[in-house]
Order: sequence, then structure tokens, then C-alpha cells
Amino acid sequence: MGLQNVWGPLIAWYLFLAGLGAGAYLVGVVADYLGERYRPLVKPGIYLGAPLVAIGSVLLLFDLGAPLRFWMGFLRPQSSMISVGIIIISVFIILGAIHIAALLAPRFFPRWQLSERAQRWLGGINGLFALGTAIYTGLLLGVVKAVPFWNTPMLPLLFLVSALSTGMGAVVLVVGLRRWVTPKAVEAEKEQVTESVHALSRVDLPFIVTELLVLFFLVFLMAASRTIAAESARYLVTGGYAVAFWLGVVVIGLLVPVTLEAWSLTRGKGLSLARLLDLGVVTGLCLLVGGVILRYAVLAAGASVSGSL
Amino acid sequence: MARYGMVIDLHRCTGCGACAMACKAENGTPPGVWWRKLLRGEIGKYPSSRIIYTPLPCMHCQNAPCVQVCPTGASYKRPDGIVAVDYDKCMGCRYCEIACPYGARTFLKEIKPYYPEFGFTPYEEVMYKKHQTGVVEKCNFCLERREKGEEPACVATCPALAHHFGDLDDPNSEVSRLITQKSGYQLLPEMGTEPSVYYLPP
Repeated sequence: MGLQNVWGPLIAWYLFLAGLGAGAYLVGVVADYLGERYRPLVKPGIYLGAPLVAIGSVLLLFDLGAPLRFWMGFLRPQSSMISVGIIIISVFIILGAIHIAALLAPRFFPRWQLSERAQRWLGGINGLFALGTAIYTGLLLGVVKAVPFWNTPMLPLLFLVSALSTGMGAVVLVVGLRRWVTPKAVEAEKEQVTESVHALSRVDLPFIVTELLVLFFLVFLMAASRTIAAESARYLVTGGYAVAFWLGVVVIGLLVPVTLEAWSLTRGKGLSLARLLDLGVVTGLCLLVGGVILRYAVLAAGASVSGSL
Repeated sequence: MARYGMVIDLHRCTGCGACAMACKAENGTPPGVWWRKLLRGEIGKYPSSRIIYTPLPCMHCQNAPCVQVCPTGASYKRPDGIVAVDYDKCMGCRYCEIACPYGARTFLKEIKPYYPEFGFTPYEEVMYKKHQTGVVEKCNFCLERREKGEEPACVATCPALAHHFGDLDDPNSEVSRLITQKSGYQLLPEMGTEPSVYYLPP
């Protein structure tokens, strides 16, 4: 039992998967724009994007009291954060699926080839919807004035940074696991893979540091506030959620990955490809675990002002 | 157009709970659902402290957060100021339940009989037809009674005469006069919701 019990585990997974899929997709698109060097990141990112967000949306559907009426959510665009969100997410899933189809099609129908230019355009436009999806997961909670712990710009920022960071985690995880599935293909593009994994670490490192800072600011300021949000902060830091918060979110989700990334960067070329990729797998797993627990924790800590009446 | 509102005199309220029971009887809310709650609190410091009771119906806010966050339009504001829910449009996302600063809303997960060993009573058979599982419900100032020109059940029942119901837009109505004369106040004004339920100091 948390301080907030209206939205439970299914919503936590939905918020996590929506952010994760959006983040992974953005990694794929950005890598695509940067050219050949980061080729190994492109497909994992784009293949993960829409399916992960779609799985999250199915979970959301199961959480509804009347799932068969979900279509009514489309009828009043911009009326509610949920209306805006389901429209953004739907567009993202559809365009993301088209993107995946465009990447896969030539394998089966050699003549169906979307030009490079068209693919870049598709990725660029849907990249905006991916960004919108990641931002929406934070704004959904951020606009709720009755829950002061959520009603702060730091929350959407935290979720956005976490979405991008876990997205990078998912991509590095897939790149690392590829070594076990198709070792020869990975060995063949050894240079690019090494370069790509290092690049992800370089980019993710400041993201994790930012996330740590935002999380610290959020908890610190809320603990100092004279609202019910102080209860929320206490609940996470010293209360019923303290173990999951410190061990799951802070240590496993942030400190371990940032240490592993920093270590693999300082070792640089001294690390064998196998070691580098295994390190990536561990880093990715930690980021994902931390990302899920973060959504659980933030939801559970969402004490409403109605509790102060 | 009228803007219906309620004044609850906390000085008169004895915390008997008759309003909450009248609400249950009138609206036939299933177990676990309270359209009107009764909060118990303490004011002052011992030895000069005392217990006060705060009946808590839906505030029928002018700027209702529940209406603002509803994605389907199931929660809506009527021209007479009453915030109501159209169950047939509700998809049960429960965003309104989160957004309401007064905890006025309840999600009806399942309808169970009050006395499981006897099954549904004839009364429950009739009343539960008005409810739907998988949607969010709340106080509607007894809409059915309003149509007959009657006051909400809680107001009509209150044995301490702590409840008043009327038109807040009419400066000469009993509720408007009570609010100005006895310095009526709203709950959580900082939320900017402009509730239509006022309280008179304990």
C-alpha cells in the first residue's frame, strides 16, 4: 500500500515502457542521422521503439475500468492530458510500425525500398512524436495539482531524462546480446560496434548525472515543502519505500550504470570487445530495472492533498 | 441560471453520520462507496482542544479539476453548477479520482452485497441497477430529488440542521446570506477550484 493507490503497477509499467520505447527509438534515429559509424545502434533502436510503446499501451488498456470504451478517449482531443497523450502515442506507434516495415520490407520484397531520404524524414518526424511520448509520461502526472509531489517541472524532466537514459540502456543491452546470437556478424563490424557502445556511454553518462541531480532536487525540495509532498519525500527516503528507492532507483538504476560506463570509457581500447559488450548488457539491465522501480516509486509516493483534509 | 451550492455549519454538526447514511440509502451506493464521507479532526491544543467533524460531499467546483482531466467528457459541469458523471461515457481511467483534491470520487470495481451470506437484498437489487462497475462515481447533489424539487437527502436528513442548500448566485438566498454573515469558507481555496460547498466555522 503506497500513499497513492489509484494508479498501480500496470500504470507504472505503462509509463516506463512508453518512455523506454520512445527513448530507444530516438537513439536509433539519432544514430541514423550521425551516419555509418553508429550503424549498429540504428536497427535495435527503431525495432524496439514502437513495439515497447505498444505493449505499454496494452497494459494501460487493461488498467481501464471499461477497456471497450477506450476509443472514447480520442473524441475530445486536447481536453485532457490523457487525450493528448493517446493521440501522440497512437501516431508514434503507427509511424514507428511503418518505419520498422520499411526497414524489413527489402528483405522479403527486394523492390520495396523506401529511399534513404524518405526514411530520414520518417525518422525525424516520428522522432518528434517519440520526444512527445517521453515528455507526456511526465506531464500526465505533472499537471495534477492535487498531488504536489508530482506537480513540479522537475517531474517531467526526471521522466524525460530517465526515458532517454533507459532507451540507451535497452539499445546497448540488445547490441550486447547480439554477440551471443550472431557472434560472427558482430565480430565483422567490430570497430563500429566498439565505437557505438562507447558513444552511448559518453552520452548516457551526463544523462545519469542529470537524473541523479534532478532526483535529488525533487526529493530535497519536496521534503522541505510544507505540503503533503513532504510525506511523499519521506516515504521514499526513509519510509516504506526506502529500500526500493535507495537500492533499486539510486544504486542499481543510477550509481552502478554510471560507474560501469565511466569505467568502460576510461579503459577505452584496452577492453576486449567481449568484455565491453558484457559490460553493456549489465549496464543496460541495471538501467531498465532502475527505470521500472523509479516509475513505481514516483506513483506510490503521490500523496494527494485530500489526505490533509 | 442558478448555481447550486451547500453550506455546512460545522458549529452545529454533531458528527452523527446521518447525512452519510441518508446518502447511502438514497443513492444505494454499494459497499465501499461513500459519496459523502465524514472526517473527524481535532482543533486547538489540549486541554482546550475539541473534536470537530467535517462532512465531505463533492464540492461541485466551479473550476472542477475532474472535469478538466476527463478525456471522454463523462464528467461534466451542468448549467446549474452541478458536476455530474455520465457512466456510459466513462472508460474508467481514474484520472479524475487522482485529480480531485477532496477525495470525492470512488472507482466502483465490483458490486458486492452488503450481507454476502444472504445475497442481494430486494432493495439492493433495485438500487444497484443505477450503478455501473468499472466507472468512477460521486455525489451529484441528488439529481433525481432535484428534479422533484426536493433538497439533497443529506440536507433533508440532518437532525442538527447543519445543512443548507440553495442558489449561490442569488445574493438573497439562505446559503448566500449565511456565507456572508457567518464568514463561510471553502476547503483548500489554494487549489483554485472554487468549490460550491461552503463551511461555517466550528
